[in-house]
Amino acid sequence: MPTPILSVSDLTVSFRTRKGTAEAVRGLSYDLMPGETLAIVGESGSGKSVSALALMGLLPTTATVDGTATFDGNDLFTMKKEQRRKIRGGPMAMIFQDPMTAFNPVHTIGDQLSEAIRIHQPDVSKGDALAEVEHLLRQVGVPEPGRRVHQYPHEFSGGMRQRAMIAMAIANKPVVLLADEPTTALDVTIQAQVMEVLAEAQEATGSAMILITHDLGLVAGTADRVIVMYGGRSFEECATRDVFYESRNPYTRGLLQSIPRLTDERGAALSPIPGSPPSIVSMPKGCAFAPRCVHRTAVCEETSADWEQIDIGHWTRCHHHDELPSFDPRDEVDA
Amino acid sequence: MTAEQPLVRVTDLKTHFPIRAGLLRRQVGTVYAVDGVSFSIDEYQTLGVVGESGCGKTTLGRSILRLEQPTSGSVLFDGVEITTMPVGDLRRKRSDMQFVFQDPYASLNSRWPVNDIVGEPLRVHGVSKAETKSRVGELLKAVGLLPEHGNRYPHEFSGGQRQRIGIARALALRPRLIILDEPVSALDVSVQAQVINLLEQLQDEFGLTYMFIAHDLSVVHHISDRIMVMYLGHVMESAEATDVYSAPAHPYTHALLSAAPVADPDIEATRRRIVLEGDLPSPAAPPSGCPFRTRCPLATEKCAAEVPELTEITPGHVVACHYPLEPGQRLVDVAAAAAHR
Repeated sequence: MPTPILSVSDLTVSFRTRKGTAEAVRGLSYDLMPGETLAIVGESGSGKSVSALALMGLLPTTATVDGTATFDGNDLFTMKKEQRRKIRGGPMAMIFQDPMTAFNPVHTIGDQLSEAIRIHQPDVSKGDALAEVEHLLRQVGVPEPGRRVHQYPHEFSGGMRQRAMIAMAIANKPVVLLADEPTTALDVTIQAQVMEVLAEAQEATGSAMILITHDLGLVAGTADRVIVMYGGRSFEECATRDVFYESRNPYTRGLLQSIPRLTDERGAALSPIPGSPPSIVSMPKGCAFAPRCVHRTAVCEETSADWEQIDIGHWTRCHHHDELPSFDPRDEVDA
Repeated sequence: MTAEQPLVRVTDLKTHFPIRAGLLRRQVGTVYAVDGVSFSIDEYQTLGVVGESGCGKTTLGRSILRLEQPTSGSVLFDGVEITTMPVGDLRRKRSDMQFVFQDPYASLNSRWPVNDIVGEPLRVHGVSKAETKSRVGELLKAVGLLPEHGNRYPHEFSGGQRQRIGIARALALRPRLIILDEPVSALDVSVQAQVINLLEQLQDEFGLTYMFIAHDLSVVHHISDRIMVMYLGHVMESAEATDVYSAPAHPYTHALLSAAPVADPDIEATRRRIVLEGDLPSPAAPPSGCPFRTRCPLATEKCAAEVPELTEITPGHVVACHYPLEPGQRLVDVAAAAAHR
């Protein structure tokens, strides 16, 4: 059994608000293996992005982080600030959803990428760093990198900016890449390009990736394993195939059933989950999904279920996971 | 059913925007947002319009209701010309044609209670206070909200509920046509399906005609009778929804279908994705000839020289391409064969 590169245990993130404390992430635990792609899937307010920002140390000061995140033998949350800075953007790098706000508009792409290199490798000269930036931009498919390094972020299209961000993230050969909705702001044909670049970059550096997304389609094509989050908690964790064909969680199943598919019969009604995701300031008392769940009973409204292993590598959080009917969304004609 | 005239008939519609610069705001260029679009929508049908950002789908929707003034061309609504209609007549006509916006957070006045938001179109069109009140209650019920929700403000609702409020407002004047601009793209996946089901149910209940604008092919495919694929202000292909999916003829339609990820690992593992080269050109400087040729794997010199006409290849299936694909052909294979030659 290889050792995980990143081990998150009982991660809890809470925010102080005027209405009291709101818990955005509640006891999240997972292991990330070297080189693998782990997808964290959830809707708005599920805590998926906050959990990633906590790992990177990028949360505002109103946030309190508890739990441990062991990276390369050290706990990210207790280490010295200086040590953390060396990890951030170096061995652990993040790709953000909106590359327009992630870049500084008053510096050229070349300056920003070469600065990222020189922060982590101070003995590299400015000239060598810029040459490395050109090489990186070429690697992620930015045409004419020699000219492009002197341009500002606004001169790049959305797809090109996202490529530049990937170039910046892989500049210091990371071992963990965190990609937070990396293609959500992009058109579908550009999304296909960027996902390809991301896969190539991952292959070239051999890094593991945490892919945070709401799009189960993206997960199906890229991830090795999946964690489904809801209301700040992990609801299911398993291999990618199992989440689609062997799910043992009512929320995961509900999500799969609500996606319109190109193979659907025209005119067949979709099967949505009733209601809307809970807000973190008014979380239900028991299971966060109980108010929307067709399988709920009295116990669901009282207590949240435990995080239970039901098969090798397959975890779920549901009081009724062993009573759920068999389920394969490929059989669904109209439910 | 074809003998009747369509509810909407659009002919060679163009909406161009001037680009102005300098002290004298002289025109230095033109954005060809919609550039010669023709189509029709039959009553009680749904036309889905798909395309990427900058393809002109939103401008097209707005031009039909004259929320943007078209540059040229014709929009016939129930046989009446809209583009040249005097403003007073247009205002009355608008009760038949409504618009639902993408962003349920930005399109509702945050200082008004829901009753006023939904009732405003009725008030503007001179409906009495008492009748407005009862109609608003009915409308809220029709979209799955409770009458007592009417006293609350938009911020008290979730995104999906807000979109329901926007739909209730659009329904207030009993329109015949509703143009929906990305009505579900700002919503969570589990909530999207609720709104799609609601739209389908309301269509049956009120006999509505929809123009459904979106970038997500699977959503459009689900709700539409016909689908029109746009690129850079032009129609690339238009057909019955099932034909667009099962027998696409335009290389761009193929590329769109292939780029959209499918939530099924077995399908994802076996299919071959066509990754288009390059970015979308700017609608202010469109390429010569076919607008798609700069990214098309099949493009030849002919494509740069001649704009392909929208041609009917089978009944009801039109495509604007010099080299349309046959049913069953895959773009990857055809592109490989073309490269070999």
